[in-house]
Amino acid sequence: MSDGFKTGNPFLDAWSSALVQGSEVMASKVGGGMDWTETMRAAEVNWKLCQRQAEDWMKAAGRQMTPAGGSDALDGIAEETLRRMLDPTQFLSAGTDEVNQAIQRLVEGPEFTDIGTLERQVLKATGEWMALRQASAAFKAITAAAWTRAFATFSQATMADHSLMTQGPRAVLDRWLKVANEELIRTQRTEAFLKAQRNLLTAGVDYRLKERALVELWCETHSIPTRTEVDDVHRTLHDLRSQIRDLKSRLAADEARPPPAAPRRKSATKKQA
Amino acid sequence: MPDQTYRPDQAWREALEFGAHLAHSAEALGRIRDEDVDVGATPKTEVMRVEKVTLSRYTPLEGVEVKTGPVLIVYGLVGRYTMADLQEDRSLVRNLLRRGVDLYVVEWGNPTRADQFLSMTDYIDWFLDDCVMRIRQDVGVDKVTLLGICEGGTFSTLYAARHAEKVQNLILTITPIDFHADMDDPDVAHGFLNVWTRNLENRDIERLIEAFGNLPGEIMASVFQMLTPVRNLTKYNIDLLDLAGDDKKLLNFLRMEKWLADRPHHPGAAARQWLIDLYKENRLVKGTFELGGEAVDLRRLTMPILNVYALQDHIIPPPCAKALGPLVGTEDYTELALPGGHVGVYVSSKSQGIVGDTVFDWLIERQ
Repeated sequence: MSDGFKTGNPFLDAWSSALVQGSEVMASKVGGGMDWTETMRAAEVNWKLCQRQAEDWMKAAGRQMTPAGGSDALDGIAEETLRRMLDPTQFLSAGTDEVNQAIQRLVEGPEFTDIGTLERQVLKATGEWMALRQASAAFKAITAAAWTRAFATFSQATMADHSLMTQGPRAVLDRWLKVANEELIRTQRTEAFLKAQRNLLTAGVDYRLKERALVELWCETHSIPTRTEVDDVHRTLHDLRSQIRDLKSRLAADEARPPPAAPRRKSATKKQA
Repeated sequence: MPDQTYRPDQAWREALEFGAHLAHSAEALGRIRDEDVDVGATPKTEVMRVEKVTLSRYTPLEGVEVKTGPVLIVYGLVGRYTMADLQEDRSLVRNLLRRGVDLYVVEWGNPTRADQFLSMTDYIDWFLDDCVMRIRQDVGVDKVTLLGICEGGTFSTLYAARHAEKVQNLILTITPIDFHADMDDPDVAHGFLNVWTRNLENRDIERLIEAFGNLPGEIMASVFQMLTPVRNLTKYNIDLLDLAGDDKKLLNFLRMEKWLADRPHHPGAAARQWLIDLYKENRLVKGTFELGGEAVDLRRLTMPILNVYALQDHIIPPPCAKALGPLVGTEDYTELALPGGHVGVYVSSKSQGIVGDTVFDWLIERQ
């Protein structure tokens, strides 16, 4: 029997190990109360099938490693979905950490080599950066506690319901997901969670504004228009467009209005009088 | 009594099935190209463009006679109208075209930081009014029916209250009106978006928009993901693997993923009104929400109204939508409660016929 296969993907490697352990358990049963000979023979056949599947997967997954632009490069939503499907960190962060990750991505953005390197280094020594890291850690602590509570609830539930374990892994998994979902939804509505998430959001925004101030200082030094100046131009443009729109509306309303009646001509005699 | 013990060989078999599904899914995902995952594919023709906003008219289906006056689909700034036309067999757009509805759609485009000063007044009194005026002119009618979706339903409501003389009928789907009515919903899983927004101080929202110019689409996407925490945990493995071997279902899954991932930025000035004036301060039902310097009065909604909501809607809890009934000025007010969730109104197989038939039947009686 093989030692299993290594895909380089922790999730699949764990699955492979579980298969090997499963086969060992089955092997240990041989000679016991049941005759596992047929099962083991089938297992050998299945194992070969399993290895073929792994090879197929590696072939398919390998395409996403193809350098961008290559003829086999994946694209769009299918690529993103494949990446998520094979990313074991999805199991660690999904469900609670999306806002945290979105804020981190938004405030940090892409870090291009050489551009503003010094400024970024300076920025990461500021109180705003520290506050953001602390807020992120505090938020993660709250969500981690929720997962722990969910597991405790799940453990109690499974101990109380012995029949669950006889229903197979999918039934156990479904029960676990139900328990976890209820606990996460409950946690999201707690004051501690909401406060931690608000702190995280404000810390992210503070950091971003600090970064902008620093970048604007650099821009001013080098006679480059700042974000604030560009925003001012956009505001002026918007105001001008609004005024044009109002003028056009008034003009159209005036044109649509029937012309006023001609004033009655006064009689010549009166005029003379 | 049969032996119900779960044997190791059964576990082995399940593990193998899991592997087979994983390999099939990976292979299928490797094969599918982005252009295969087409959303909003029903043919239409652009009839007007104002900056980033476009108005399009759907091409009538071959052999189908147009039986109604013009109906304009209005989606919000959070997300994309393609929810109503996700795929050929799950498309409100196609269902309505098939019955003979003359259908238009307004697309808001992709707002950038340059659009941060666009307010709800601009979207409603400017862009939406331009669309309605253009349709009136093209078709030669005085009034247009609005079909609003989610935030677009709120936009349609505001437009109809301010320009009642141009609106034939108002059809709302999954539309928030009372932004605090989530507190009346007994389902604890509903209304987290309302709770999340109320938890923020006005200053937090102001600074968020100041920092990014707009309300970033990424923030809205992440908050939406939090609404169904475990679904996000399972959809890329368990749910996706369950689809293995069924390319049609996999494409449906990817179309939904594409729609979910497409979160444009919400222009800053409009986002302030949406989050502070409406979500936090609930001004619309209090009669203190202002557009163009005037308070919006829902009693001016004197046209026929059809209000469609979803009973398991966790984004817009049913009480938030149903609140409209007692506030309007028309006697011709109809509600349709559908089983299912927010997106289910448009994409679930169950709701396909119900929504299309109900909207069409209701509409044809009010031409």
